[in-house]
Amino acid sequence: MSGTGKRFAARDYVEVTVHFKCNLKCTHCMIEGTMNWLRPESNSQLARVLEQNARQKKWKGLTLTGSEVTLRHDLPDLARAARDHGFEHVRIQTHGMRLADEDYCRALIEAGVDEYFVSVTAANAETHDAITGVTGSFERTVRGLENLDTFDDVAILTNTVITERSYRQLPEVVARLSHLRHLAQMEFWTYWPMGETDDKDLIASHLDVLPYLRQAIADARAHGRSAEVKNFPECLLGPEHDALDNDQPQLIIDPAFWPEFMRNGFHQCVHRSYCTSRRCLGLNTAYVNKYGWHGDVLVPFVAEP
Amino acid sequence: MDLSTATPADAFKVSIEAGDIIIEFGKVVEPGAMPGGAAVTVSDRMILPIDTGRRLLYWLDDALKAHAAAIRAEEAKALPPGQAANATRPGQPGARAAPEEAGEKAALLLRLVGDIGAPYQYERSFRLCERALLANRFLLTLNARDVPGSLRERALDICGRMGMPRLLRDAADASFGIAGCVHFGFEGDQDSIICKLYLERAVPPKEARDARRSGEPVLLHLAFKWDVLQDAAVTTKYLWYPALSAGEIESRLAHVYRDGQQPSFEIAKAALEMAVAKAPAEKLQYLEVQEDANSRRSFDLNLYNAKLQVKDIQPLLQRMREHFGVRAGQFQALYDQINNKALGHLAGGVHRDGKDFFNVYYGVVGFPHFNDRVG
Repeated sequence: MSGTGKRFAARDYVEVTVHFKCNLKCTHCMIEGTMNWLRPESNSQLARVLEQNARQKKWKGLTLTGSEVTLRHDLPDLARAARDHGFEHVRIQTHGMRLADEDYCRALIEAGVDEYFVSVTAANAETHDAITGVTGSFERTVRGLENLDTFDDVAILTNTVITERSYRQLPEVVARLSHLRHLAQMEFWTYWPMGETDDKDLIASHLDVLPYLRQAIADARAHGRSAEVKNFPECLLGPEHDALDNDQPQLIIDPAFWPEFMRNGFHQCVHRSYCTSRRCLGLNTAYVNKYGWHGDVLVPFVAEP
Repeated sequence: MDLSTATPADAFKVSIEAGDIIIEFGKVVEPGAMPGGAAVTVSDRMILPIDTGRRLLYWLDDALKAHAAAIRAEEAKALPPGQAANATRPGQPGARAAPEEAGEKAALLLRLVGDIGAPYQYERSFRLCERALLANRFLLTLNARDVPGSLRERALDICGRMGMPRLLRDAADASFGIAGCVHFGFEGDQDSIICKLYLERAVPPKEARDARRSGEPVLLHLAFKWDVLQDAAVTTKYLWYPALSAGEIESRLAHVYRDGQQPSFEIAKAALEMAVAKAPAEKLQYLEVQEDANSRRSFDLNLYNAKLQVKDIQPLLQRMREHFGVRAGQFQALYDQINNKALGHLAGGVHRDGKDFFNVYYGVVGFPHFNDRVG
């Protein structure tokens, strides 16, 4: 447990982007347009992170990420190296399809990967496969999750990106995964388009998303999961505002990524200069350009004297 | 210069001796030979006058400009995401949406009042009217005795900076002597930004008692309101009917709604009934509102002493929402943020545009003056 009291506190983790290829074609992929030219960190760069942590014990966990890291054949070796350098946890960010292979699943766990951050884009095969662009992907992801769930000492985290195509299914996603014993945390990341406009028409109105999101948070908690929301106005979450956590681990990534990321233009709100929320990212440029400022419903947080 | 003997270097050391800059160049032969350092074979030792050193610095800086982005990018790898983003693109944030003017004006008013340095109260509200929900509304209240210097000057200066028309400012100036406290009001949306200055009288007890006996109201607030976006201004009188009973308040409400608006009248009556179930009617404050230049006829019922929360009148709010045809999701998004706040006052009736409305004020918060003890 970290000092923040959260099991998976961002400050305890470092993320290293070790692979920029994927075998899905998710419509909401936030690095879709950059995968071709972003450079993954080299093995020697990863080694430097491992050595730094061996010396300084700065992080408890290493997340291997990028696009689909299970496409790297040496993934178990990377996990073993991280464990050998003192990382208590090794996490992978994955769509989970390869975990449908029990032997592969076991190999990763034996290599030291004990946390799995798995993308589940919707609650059923029809919607999920339409979003990922690959028929059968939902079935394989769910089977992968179920394989993981047979192992003790494994923590599963899921992420569902909130888009126009997925938001109505958020509570159903929670229900669909309710049988997983080791599902510790469900995350719901509001889509951002890495640009100033929503060219793919995926941004959903926060007001439309709200009832589904709050229901999903409540349901996840009722199942004993932690629920975490990214990039949603804190005020709108009402009693569930504590689910908002925009903290991110330190990310080791090709620096060319950041100018693209900055195009989102976070921290925009009519109340920005006097609202006392410290963890809200407000609205982003593409959102405001599509739905306006929501000055009719947003209420600023006010410091109690 | 003969470059045939040029020696590559990957290390240097700079020092100053006797007013000269000494630069030693060399090659690293043993990295990490000592904590925080390395063993270096020195190949060249240069002695530069300060002025030459300054010119060297200029040309080095110039030479590095072409590589600045790559250097920043490499350095950014060790930074957290937010800092890295700024480091790789200094001074160039992503394109922002065009700002909403109402939000900017609201922020300005809050800053100007806060800058006075006196304690003030902050109370937000929302308005429901035909197919509209307006939530960017608030009141800021200052007591004259808390404001250092002249409240008149400070208040009128703020109004001027908020675009108060000259004639309205003169009228406010002429009446300012009545003010025991002032309220700055704000309401903004995409179509209009209305700022308000309320002058609140400290009504003498005898005047209030006489008003109670006679049944005639007393002037409590004189308000000066102007639209920042349009050339429009109005003066509003808030008339207090002291210590009315519940029945008398209901009769006044019936008078306000005498031309129909039965659903709103029923809602206002129900709110009154809920309040008097918690506190004597005499503890509430009933005002009526007049504007000479139009047909506004409305009331303002202060409910704070009933100690209700917004959620206590949720059924009434739903009736308002349905009555005005406001989208359920839109209203729910607001309601969920404020339902635990104290219910302040309820205003309603016929607005200056002739349309039925309700304003709900909630969650007043006081901001202390931290320098009180300093005198």
